[in-house]
Amino acid sequence: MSRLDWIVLGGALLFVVLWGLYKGRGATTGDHYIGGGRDHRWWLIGLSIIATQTSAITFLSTPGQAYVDGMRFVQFYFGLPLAAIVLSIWAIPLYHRLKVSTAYEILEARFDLKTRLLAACLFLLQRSLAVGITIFAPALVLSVLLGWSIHANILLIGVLVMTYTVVGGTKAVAWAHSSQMFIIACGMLLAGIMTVHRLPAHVSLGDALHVAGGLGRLNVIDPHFDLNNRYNLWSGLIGGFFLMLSYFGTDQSQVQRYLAGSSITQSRLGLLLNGMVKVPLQFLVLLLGALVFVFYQFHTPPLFFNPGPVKQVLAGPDAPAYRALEGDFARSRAAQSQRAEAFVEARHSGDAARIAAAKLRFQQAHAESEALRRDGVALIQKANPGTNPSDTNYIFLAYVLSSLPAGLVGLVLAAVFSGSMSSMSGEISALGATTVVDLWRRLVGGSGTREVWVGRVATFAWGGFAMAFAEYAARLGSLIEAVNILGSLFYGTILGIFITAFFVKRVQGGTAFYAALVAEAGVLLCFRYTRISFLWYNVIGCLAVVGLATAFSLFQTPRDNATEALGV
Amino acid sequence: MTDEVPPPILGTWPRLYAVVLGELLLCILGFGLLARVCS
Repeated sequence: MSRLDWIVLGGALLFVVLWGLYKGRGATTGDHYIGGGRDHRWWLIGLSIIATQTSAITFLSTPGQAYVDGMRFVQFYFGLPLAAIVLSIWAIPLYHRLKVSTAYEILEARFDLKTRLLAACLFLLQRSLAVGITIFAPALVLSVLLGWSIHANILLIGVLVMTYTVVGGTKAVAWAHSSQMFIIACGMLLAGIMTVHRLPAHVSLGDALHVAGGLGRLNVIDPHFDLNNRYNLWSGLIGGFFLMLSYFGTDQSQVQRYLAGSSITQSRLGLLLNGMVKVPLQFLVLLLGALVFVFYQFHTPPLFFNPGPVKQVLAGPDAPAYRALEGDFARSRAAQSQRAEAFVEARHSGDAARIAAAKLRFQQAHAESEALRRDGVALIQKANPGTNPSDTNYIFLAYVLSSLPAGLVGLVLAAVFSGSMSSMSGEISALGATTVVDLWRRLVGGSGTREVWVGRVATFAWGGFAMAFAEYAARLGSLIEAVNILGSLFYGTILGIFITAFFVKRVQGGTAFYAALVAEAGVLLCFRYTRISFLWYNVIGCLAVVGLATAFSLFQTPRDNATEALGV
Repeated sequence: MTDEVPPPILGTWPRLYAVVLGELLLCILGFGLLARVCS
């Protein structure tokens, strides 16, 4: 990294922290600290919602995913606009009318205290573990590619985030989010423009898209229904809808963002802005990955993008074999580049038969180099049996460090840090809010200035826990993937509790609580014993709670119906 | 359950929801078309 990169990176991060501190000053009551003063406009809410779900791994992993697997991951987000509409119609007016500070408050009014505490504790459990991974994953990538210490990285991100989040609460988080989204947008946009610019002069954007499409990297839509296929149109629309409904409707890290709106209208517009922006945004991030893939059709990439395992194999007895494989791969990629050039020239000729023949030769060359890459991965795994065979998370940053100019490298790194900070701040702020409102305020009691300090202590404690877990995550190895799908293991059940609360009037008190426990056990059994893709757990958990609660309600003792108290 | 205050654009909430749905549909069709044309 050049001096300019350090200046850009340091300046951007300093600006985010100071901006958050400045805009978040003046919280005097617990409600103001947690609710952000309830005066946020729709655009601030929308940016804050997008920033909270945007982690650093979004920008490290997503382009790499397009590079390796194509762009089908965008289908994951197709349920989001549908969920935004449903929540705008039913959830936002209800939350505003009841003047709740957390989503879980509603459950006590509708059912009982233990159901509220169950939902709040499920949120605290899964979100606190997930936030640790949120800061660990980019720290790992940066440590491998730049040689930075993982511990220093985790400490830096944690201290920066906690400085403004602990002091200023929800308002500081929202305003810091707006500056982080600006940095992220600038970084990714300029990286995209520069990637197109760095393609050979005669290769237009249209040519680049055909090169990517010819090798299956524009496989955006997969209409085939398959429960075991993680990303297709139907898992995105149906499974994604349930996941997003739960995430945006019942996860406090998101609910807190739109409850800070000055009115129902502002909250709705903020959520709908996210519904409109997220799919195209994710498409553009994936397209950036596809363009990096095209860039490497004309330049030779490394055999394996993660340099850590490569160093290990080169230090062992398999080093000569790996070196030979690298030589074969470089020659294969040189031949592939020539075929790519020939394909582009054929496209410019407009001769359909020539284009088809050139494309076929290009695809054959790609298949040969991919086979060599697989051999390389097998050799790496033979030398280090525990090594992750995927280098997806390293592709984009390795490309940035080796191919983008000074200054832009610093800006992209600032975007990566901003992503990490934006999700961590939104999440620890929500963990603090849930601790204060659903545990401390409900079980201990208190208000005013004292509650601000309890909120600060709780937010600080959750930030510290996240950093400690991030440190521990370094030793978890493959369990990290399990933690990543943790959300889907619990989201369906939580959503089921809320849907039962809103729409199944006959279900009372403890019935929903016990239905949720049984449903959660069912989801965990599905995870353990079936191959069903994780997006479907959201559907299964939700429908199981609603179905079981309805069935259990046939045996419950009648009492006053609390649904009417919610006005639904 | 509807908000009495209309949105500042498009006049009614159902119209705004239709625009959000329409954009999703356009995205799905557009992405599919892009993949078909460039593959």
